Amino acid sequence: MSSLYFDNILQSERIRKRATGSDLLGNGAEVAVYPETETEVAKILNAANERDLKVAVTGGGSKLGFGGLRKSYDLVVSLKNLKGIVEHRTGDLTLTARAGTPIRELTKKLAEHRQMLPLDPRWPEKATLGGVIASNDTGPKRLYYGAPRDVVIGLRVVYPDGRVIRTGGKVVKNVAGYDMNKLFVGSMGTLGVITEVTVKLRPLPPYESLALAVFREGREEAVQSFVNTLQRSHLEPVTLEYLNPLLTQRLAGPNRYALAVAFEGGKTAVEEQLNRIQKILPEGADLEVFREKEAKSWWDEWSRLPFNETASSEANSAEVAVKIGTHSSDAVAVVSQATELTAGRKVEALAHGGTGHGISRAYVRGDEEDVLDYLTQLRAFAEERRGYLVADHMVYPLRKRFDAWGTRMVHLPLMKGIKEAIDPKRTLNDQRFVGGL
Amino acid sequence: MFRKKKQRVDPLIQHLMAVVGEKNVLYRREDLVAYECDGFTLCRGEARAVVFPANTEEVAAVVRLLNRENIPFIARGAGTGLSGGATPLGGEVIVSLVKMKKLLQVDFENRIAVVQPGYVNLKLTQSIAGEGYYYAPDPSSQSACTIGGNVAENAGGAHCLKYGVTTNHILGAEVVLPDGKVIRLGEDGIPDLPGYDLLGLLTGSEGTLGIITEITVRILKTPEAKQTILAYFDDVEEGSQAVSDIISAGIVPAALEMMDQTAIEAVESANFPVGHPLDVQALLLIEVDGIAAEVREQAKEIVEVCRRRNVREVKVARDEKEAAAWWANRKTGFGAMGAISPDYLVQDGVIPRSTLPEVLKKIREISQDTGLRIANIFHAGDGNLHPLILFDERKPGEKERALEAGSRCLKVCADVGGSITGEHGVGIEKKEEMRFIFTDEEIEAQLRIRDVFNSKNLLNPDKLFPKPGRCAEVKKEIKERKLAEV
Ligand SMILES: Cc1cc2nc3c(=O)[nH]c(=O)nc-3n(C[C@H](O)[C@H](O)[C@H](O)COP(=O)(O)OP(=O)(O)OC[C@H]3O[C@@H](n4cnc5c(N)ncnc54)[C@H](O)[C@@H]3O)c2cc1C
Repeated sequence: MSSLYFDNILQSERIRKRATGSDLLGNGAEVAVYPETETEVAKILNAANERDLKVAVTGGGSKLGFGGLRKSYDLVVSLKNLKGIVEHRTGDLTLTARAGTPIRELTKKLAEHRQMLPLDPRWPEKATLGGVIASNDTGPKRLYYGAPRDVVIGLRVVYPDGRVIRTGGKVVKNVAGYDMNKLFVGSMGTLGVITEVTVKLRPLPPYESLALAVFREGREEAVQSFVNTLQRSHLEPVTLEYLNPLLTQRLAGPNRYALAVAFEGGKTAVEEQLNRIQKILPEGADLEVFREKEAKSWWDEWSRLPFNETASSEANSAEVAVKIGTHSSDAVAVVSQATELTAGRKVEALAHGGTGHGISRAYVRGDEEDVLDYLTQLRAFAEERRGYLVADHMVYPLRKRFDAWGTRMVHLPLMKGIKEAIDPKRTLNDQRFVGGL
Repeated sequence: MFRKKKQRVDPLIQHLMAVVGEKNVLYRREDLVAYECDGFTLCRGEARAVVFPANTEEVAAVVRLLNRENIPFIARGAGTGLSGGATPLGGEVIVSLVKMKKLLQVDFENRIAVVQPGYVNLKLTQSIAGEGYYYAPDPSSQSACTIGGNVAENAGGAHCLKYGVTTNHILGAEVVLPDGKVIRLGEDGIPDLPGYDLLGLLTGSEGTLGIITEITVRILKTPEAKQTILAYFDDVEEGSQAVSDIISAGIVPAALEMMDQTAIEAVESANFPVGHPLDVQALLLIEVDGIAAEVREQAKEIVEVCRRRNVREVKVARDEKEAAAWWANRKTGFGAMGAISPDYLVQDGVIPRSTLPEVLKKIREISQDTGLRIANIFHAGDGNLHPLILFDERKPGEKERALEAGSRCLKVCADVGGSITGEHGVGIEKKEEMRFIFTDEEIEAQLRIRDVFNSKNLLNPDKLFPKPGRCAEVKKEIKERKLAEV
């Protein structure tokens, strides 16, 4: 593939050869381009589309190991340089920013106005707004604040042929036409290149705390019953995340199962809730409380848990991150299972589960064959409960052996119809998504 | 119309009867009158028949039949829609979901409920309130409208500011596609099933992508405490400044509603007066909910904010009864227009909250230009404005002027960066106004999506999108058609 095609669109210093991706993670190309404007993105896609090139799209590059059955593409379009805030309407609690803006940059800016982006994705320093939206990445706080689909109110998207389409708008409530935002949120860049995102903001809570209930024994029924008590109470937790022993330990706690219950809001309300949780704490559990800065740094540490770089180069070893979706009432069981399945295998796993929202995650490391076997078992466990397992970080050779997406999915014929309607030449992120989309 | 004419029963009717039973098909002209329009009464058309399926299989069988015969059809819930979504344009078969009205399942542990599409919105909250739960989206029409209709319109309500609109509460659906295939979207409350968010796309598609036959919704725990605050302002601008100040103070109220003087006059003349002064320019009705300690603090802070904005009077509801009276007064606001005007047209624009004073000024100008009074009811917290245009259908030309005034209000909203509809949908009414906010290419992109689901365009045809073609010509055509219809 020659980079010459793009010479008349971009200055040569923004075209790099063999620049992105690692061969192990895949989703790279010999040539990468770094457009700085939407117009450039449009011209590049238009040129690529006309020449039947296959294009991979990246943001900060934190998700190169997330799906994809192609080792390489003809071209990588990186949104890294398409960044910055376009408009922050403080009075309207809305923000428009370019897709390549790192999340951390946004949260910092917003904090100056005592506002926040109500998303807590992984690796906020590296992950970009567009990437988080396209991959629908969420953290434990989605329990209270919602997921990207609840936060995005408008997008600018470059279609595979270079057309620019706006979806939604800039106001927080809007039902004009189809809610096209939804198509692009979580579509893994297979339908269009998101260049600009408008989101709803929230006031930054003036105070926060984290109550870590550490269970001396992690008996599932006891934990579940405590979760149910919390859910039936009037407490308004921001997270109800269940951690396996290895993870609790990694976050400077004991080697025990634990439930991370965060409260955010006015100081009175937060302290009041901490009091109440103390009172309903079950036998056999100890409460450790973090406030303000301590709580913040706990979550910072949390956001850096996942693997996102090239896996260790040791032969026969593997690092895989998985996302498991089930009914929230199955999350405790999923975390136990993710822990117990390590027994007898050369595998270790950090695992946590949203007992109020149903998304669990595990970070698995160990002997390659054992890891694959572990994943197969864990997927079966989730599917028995009508859930699913998706591997969202795994090296390319393993993706060939273990279907990153699995077979549980939204209605495939309609999804294919949509892909065909928007990207008939399969220009964008070909085979990156579920069902070969 | 009622003349008995020997009717030869249309074979289609017989086929439909074979599917759903004789009693569940309406086809006589006199029976079809009630289905000539929905809550947007300015446009009417005649359906070919109305069928009342009892379950998904019957819906699918009806749809397969209609698809085979190439007969257009429309899903209908309670018919309270305000943009003409359920109104036939002529010759469609209406598939009414009102007989599918069961609550199928409630799972408190996972906080989900499964309902049939014809289940009435308010009934859900009523049947789970005893356990301390509720369903958040609360359109003012909630005692009549169906959850199926809510999903189709992505309905909002006064309490959607803090908790989000319908789309934020829908977790799964069973859908009969326009060719009669039955599919499930979302796995009954399991989040983020891999794939495109078709459920999100379906929500708010105004019955043009499929007929929803079962819905899984999120239910919420009733908050511990609630306080309702009422504030009267002599100056609209001070009122809207107060709205901004509340938001900037970091408070996310459950509801933040505004009414202007004309709206107050109407609600005070109607069935649920509560003694609002008639000479204030605006009132704010605010509700905060959550942990008791925090709610008390926030209510105090809101009262302070209003005082700083020269409020004439501000009070916190003494008890639930008083709060309920204030809410009944507000929630019947549209209908109350009937007390001060023979006819009214509800509009539904959205604006960035901060542009409210400017927008209200422009709406006053439209009122002056057209000689029609315009009342404003406003979900102020999320910028969703309902101008209510008062007119008298009997006076020649007034209906046309009302339609024109409505369209101009939407233009004003679009011009300040807003939208032409926040919760009532495009339907028939705002098709042409879609061009205020979308380019031809963007509309075309949406049509391509419709074609994926509804390739023959038999399901609710000619709604939602302006007719293709050059803009000016189409506008003229629509205008002529509107005039012919009204
Ligand atoms: C007094 C009054 C106050 C109102 N207040 C509000 C408010 O506060 N907020 C708000 O959002 N709306 C409000 N509305 C508008 C209306 O109530 C909502 O749009 C409601 O969601 C319509 O529900 P319905 O059952 O009446 O649907 P219908 O009017 O019967 O249908 C509406 C649309 O949905 C489609 N549809 C219906 N059922 C299905 C189904 N099962 N599958 C697929 N498509 C279907 C129809 O084809 C049509 O396009 C109000 C209306 C009135 C009259």
